[in-house]
Order: sequence, then structure tokens, then C-alpha cells
Amino acid sequence: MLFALMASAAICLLDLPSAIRTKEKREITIVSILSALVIILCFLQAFGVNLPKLMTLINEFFMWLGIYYKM
Amino acid sequence: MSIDKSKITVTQFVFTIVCFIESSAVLSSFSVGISGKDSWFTMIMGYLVFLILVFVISQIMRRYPDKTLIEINNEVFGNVLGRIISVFYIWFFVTLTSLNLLDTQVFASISIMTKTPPIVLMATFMVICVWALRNGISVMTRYMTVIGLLAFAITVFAFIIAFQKFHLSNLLPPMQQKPIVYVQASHIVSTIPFGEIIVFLMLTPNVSSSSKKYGRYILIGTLLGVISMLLVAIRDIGVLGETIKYFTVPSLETQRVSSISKIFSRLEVLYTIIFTALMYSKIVVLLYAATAAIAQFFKLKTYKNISLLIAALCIVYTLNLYDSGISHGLSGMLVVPFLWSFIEYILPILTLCVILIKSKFKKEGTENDAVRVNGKRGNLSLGPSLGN
Repeated sequence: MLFALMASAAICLLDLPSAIRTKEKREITIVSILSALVIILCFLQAFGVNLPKLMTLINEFFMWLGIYYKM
Repeated sequence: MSIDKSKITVTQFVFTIVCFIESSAVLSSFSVGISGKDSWFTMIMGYLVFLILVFVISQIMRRYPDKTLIEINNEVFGNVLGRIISVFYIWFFVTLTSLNLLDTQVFASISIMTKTPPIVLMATFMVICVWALRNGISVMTRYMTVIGLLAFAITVFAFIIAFQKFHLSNLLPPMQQKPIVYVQASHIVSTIPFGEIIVFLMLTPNVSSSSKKYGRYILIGTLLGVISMLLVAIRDIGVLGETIKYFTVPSLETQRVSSISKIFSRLEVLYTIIFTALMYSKIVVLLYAATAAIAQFFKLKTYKNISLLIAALCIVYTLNLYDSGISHGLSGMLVVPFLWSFIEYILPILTLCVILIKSKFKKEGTENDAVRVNGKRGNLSLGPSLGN
């Protein structure tokens, strides 16, 4: 939880203000959307939500395809 | 055009590559776990395979010296297909950053900071990387020469210290395993440390060089790196023998058992210091590539505005990569070499093929145009003579 709070604070205090300083609508929109996504992910992680283990899923997919070294 | 205007010297570029390869010594456990005492041979084989990629990368760099990988994709494949391919590369850079962060955290947790929560280790490490990143690429790579040389000096020093425990018989008899073992281990080495060099296509426009001999720079950098890796591998096999297969970080164990009398003992502290510095050099380059690639993908003016949020994303991603350490190890040995081969070898080769085909058609087009123009000129000049 502490990490999620610190990450959110850092993003809101450093990344977002520097994007706003550019005064470009596109820059501000994209940085805001990306920041919101990352902050949501941080809090999901903090609340113990089981996020998909991406590389494990890819492993399983490759093994299902049969593309791997047999031991 | 590069997203970061600052320039780095050729020496900085070469030593960034050296550090990048040297830091991968800890990842040798993937190939060492398979080929054991013949790992030195598979490293050489993997390096020879990697030379194909050096040729491909240098050709791409030579043709597009002022463009990054994302811009090259847009130029070569067009706006739609280029962006789809760029998504693969962005995912690759973010995943690679997270995987290396995971390796650093695992190493720190088992060797120096056993009671510190993993998230604290990762967050602290990433804050330092972001700090360097926000100051630009020239600041980021300023200490690479020092780190690279220091790492090499420590490797040689550790080799001398470990010589007392070194048994040449541990390396013998060579080549006694099944051929598939060598194929698999060489494949791992060619993709996991060496193939990752593809990331340097994001740094090309920042290299201030008049000669643009990129192939030579990459070759020198990787050669110095591979010499260091070979020294480490031979030392570890000579000291640990067949047990090398069972350690997560064989080099750390070698340093633990090495000593000169009672004065020079517990020298693993040297290894941990230099390993942390090397991992910083690798992760900062990967983080730069990931951040710059995302910024260019969304056509942002600077990558600095998203550096912190990409770092936070990498930390969350690191926590959600694998179910367990065993899953990570098995993935590195069995599946990841195939997955990385597609991104590190097949995509760049495809890019180069399209570049060559396009330039050939362009050449033929200009030749045809020249013939047509000459023909018209001929007719024009023929006109008055016919009139006469």
C-alpha cells in the first residue's frame, strides 16, 4: 500500500506537472491516461488483487503450441 | 530524429554495451543449468550465432543513423504495420526491464539484504534509474567506462584469488553430452544476453560519430563483454565443478569459497558491489529504451514526462511476471529463447529484407526514370536533325 501511495504521489507531483507545463493538449491527455492506468494497477496490486501472471500465461501458450525444449 | 538531443561518445557507447553484456553473467544460470561444465563452449557458439544479428543491426543502423527503432518501423513498414511491430518491441523492452529488475531483487534478497521487502529494493533501485534517466542519455552513460573497467578488473582479481580452488579436471572431459544440449544452451546464450543488444537501436541517433561504423562498435563492445563472461564461466566451472548446475548465482558461490589465507576472505562483497553497478547500467538502458519507445509511439515531445510512471509500471509488472522462481527458471531454459528469437532475430532480419527490397525497387525506379528522361532528350535532339 505504501508503494502504491508513493508511486501515485511521485507520478502526480513529477510526471503530470511537467506534462502540464508543456501546455500541449495531446501531451497532457496521454500522460494523464497513462498515469491513471499505472496508479490503478499499483492500487490493485496493493489491495492484493490477483493480476494475471503474463509470462506464465505466455509459457503455457507456447507449451500448448509445442514450441519449447523438452527436458 | 531522436527524442533525446544529448550525444554520447563512441567510448561511452562501446562501454555501455560492455556493461550490458557483463551484467548478464548472473543470467548464465539458464545455460549453465543445461550444459554444466561445457558452458564456456556454448557461450562461444552463442556468440558466433549472435554475429548474424550484429551484421543485421549494423546494416539497419548504417541506413538509418538518425532514427530510432520505432521511427525505422514506421518508415519501413508504413504507419499501421510499423506501429503493430513497435508494440512488440515496446512490450519486449518493458518485459526485459522487469525481468532484469526481478533478477536484481532476487540477487539482493539472497545475498545482501535478506530481510528487506522486495518492493523496497525494487523501488529504491528504480528511483536511482529514473533520476539518471531524467538527466538525459549523456549523464546516464557517463560512468559506464568506469563501471565496465572496474568490473573487468574485479573479474580478473577474483580469477587470481580463486586460483587456489581451481581444478582443471572440473572442465574435463569436454563435449560428452548430447548434441541437443549444446543447441539448447547456445540458443539460450544467443538470445538472453546477446540478442538483447537490439535495444541499442534506440540509442543510435545519440552516438556522435563521424565514421558511423556501428558494426565495429557493437563487435568491440560485445567481444570485451564475452571475454569477461568466459573468464567468469571458466572460473566458476573450475571451482564448483558439476555442482555449478544447482546454484542460482554460481559466481557468488565461487567468491564465497575463494580466499587467500585468512586475510582475503568473504570477497563476495566485491562481486555484489560490481554486480549492482552493472545491473544499474543494464536496467537504465532498458528503461530508457522502453520510455523513449513509448514516448515516440504516442508522439510525445519528451520521454522525461513518463519516466516515473513507466518505472512504476515495471515494478508492478515485475511482481506479476511469474508464479514462482521455479517457473521463471524453467521459462528461461525452455520457452523464452523461442519467444525472444522472434523479437531479437526474426523481426530485425525481416526489417532489413524489406529495407533492401525497397531500396532495390527505388533504384530500379530511378534508373527507369533516368532512361525515360534520356529517351525524351534523345527524341528532342533527334527532332531538329529529322527536320533538316
